[in-house]
Amino acid sequence: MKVMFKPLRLGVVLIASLAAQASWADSVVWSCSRSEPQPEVFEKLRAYRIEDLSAKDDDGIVITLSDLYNAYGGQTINMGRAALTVCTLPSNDPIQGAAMELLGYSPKDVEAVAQLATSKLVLVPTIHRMQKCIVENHPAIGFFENVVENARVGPCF
Amino acid sequence: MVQTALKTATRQARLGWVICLGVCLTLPLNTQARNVQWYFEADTATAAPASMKTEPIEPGQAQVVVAVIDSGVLSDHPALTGKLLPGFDMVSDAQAGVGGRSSNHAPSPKGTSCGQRMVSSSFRTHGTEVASIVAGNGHQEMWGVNPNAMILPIRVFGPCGMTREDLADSIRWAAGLPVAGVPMNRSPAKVINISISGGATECRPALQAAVDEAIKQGAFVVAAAGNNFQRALVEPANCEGVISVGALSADNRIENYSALDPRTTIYTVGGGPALRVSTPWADNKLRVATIELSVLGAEQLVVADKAIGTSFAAPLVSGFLSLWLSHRPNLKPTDWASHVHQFVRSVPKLAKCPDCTPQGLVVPESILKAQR
Repeated sequence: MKVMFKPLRLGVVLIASLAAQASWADSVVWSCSRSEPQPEVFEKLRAYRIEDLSAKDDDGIVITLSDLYNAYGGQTINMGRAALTVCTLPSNDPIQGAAMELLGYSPKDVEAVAQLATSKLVLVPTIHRMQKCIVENHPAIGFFENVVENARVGPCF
Repeated sequence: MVQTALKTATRQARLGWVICLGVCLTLPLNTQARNVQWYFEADTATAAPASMKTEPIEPGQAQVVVAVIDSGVLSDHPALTGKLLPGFDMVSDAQAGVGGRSSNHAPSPKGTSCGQRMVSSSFRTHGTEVASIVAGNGHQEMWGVNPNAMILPIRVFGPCGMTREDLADSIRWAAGLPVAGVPMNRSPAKVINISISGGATECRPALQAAVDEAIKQGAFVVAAAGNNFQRALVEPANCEGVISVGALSADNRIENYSALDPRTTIYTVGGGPALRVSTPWADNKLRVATIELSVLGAEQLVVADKAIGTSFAAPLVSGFLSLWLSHRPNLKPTDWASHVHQFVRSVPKLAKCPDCTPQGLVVPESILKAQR
């Protein structure tokens, strides 16, 4: 049986057991893009416990915690031949404040990095556009206030 | 004392010019220069609050084997020259030209993915980075906690994930126990480091059995608590008998990303965001042997201050255990509970976990001296 053990990360497959925990509510959920829509995979994710899943059935991108920190710090993270896109919000957005506080970054510094021409950080105007950014820029990461899980996006830690 | 002198000299070199004419004099050109391995610093005046303070401690006579169950280890990295024992690739499925169980413990090739699944290049370097924290040989100041330890590299995952069975087999093999279809390990490990997290929220019997057998064999099993942003431990850190390791910042706070669970055995530095203080340890990252890409995309074997996560806190504890065992080779995992009070200090609790009594690793030199 495949198990979704990961170095430095917890996979999409932990959603079922963790979503019910209160701690989701007082944090942000780092979220990763998935490959092409595969409805049957999504159904499987919902139907089975983690140890029954093959890692091959999870098309979420795989990043490490160091990648998360480095990406929001402005470094380019290579994902095979592609570069990871980082979706982020304006510095005055309270969710952005919470997310950057978790990482220990200044929201204004991150916003400044996002405004550089060569940056892989994409500034989205509101949290409602976050999912669109993550999906359209695959491979990409971003965050939500709550768990968002569908065929194209899922939590990455 | 040669290693200590060498470490001291290299640290002095960072601070400025070192002139050695019978004795070494340091000309302080840059008083803001930082100790790149600040987490070993023992000088009370300058040490980070969360420092392990192992810098002045010489390894003992016994050479200790530390198994690194991970993504594989790059055998040609200069920071690990002379440090690697013959390892094994325990991944049962052949994937992308590796796996299928063989003696080739190298990580997956550059750019490997699992079907459409994209994996960051960090996964290729993870095992090498972990191994260097345990036993780095000093190349470019990449010192392990115990440079005399030997690394037993065991590859257990690649881009397609891993199985609980392969992890259990890896633990057994590391400890010198038989595994069907795999040649016996001729260098059983006294310490088994598992910088992996993400299994079930309760340790499954198959994994617990392997941990129990390894402990019975005399191996200390150390696992990263996990980077799940203050949620409970999952496998393998939640298995009974495992020394689970959470992450602290340099200023002795539990890092936001670290798992938060009363069962966490011990905390030590795991790196994190830079701290807004004017100190040598403000960078708050751990030094590791790794790979970086040149501007042309070629891989370069380098040493860098960049590691963040409980994956890197765990090998600090594994390295410490190997240092301790090098002085007291007859200690058993069951001795941990009666000795741990000697090398811990308190860590501030977080309100989210009122039942937690976090303890940080600190190793007074006198402890090992007294035990020689």
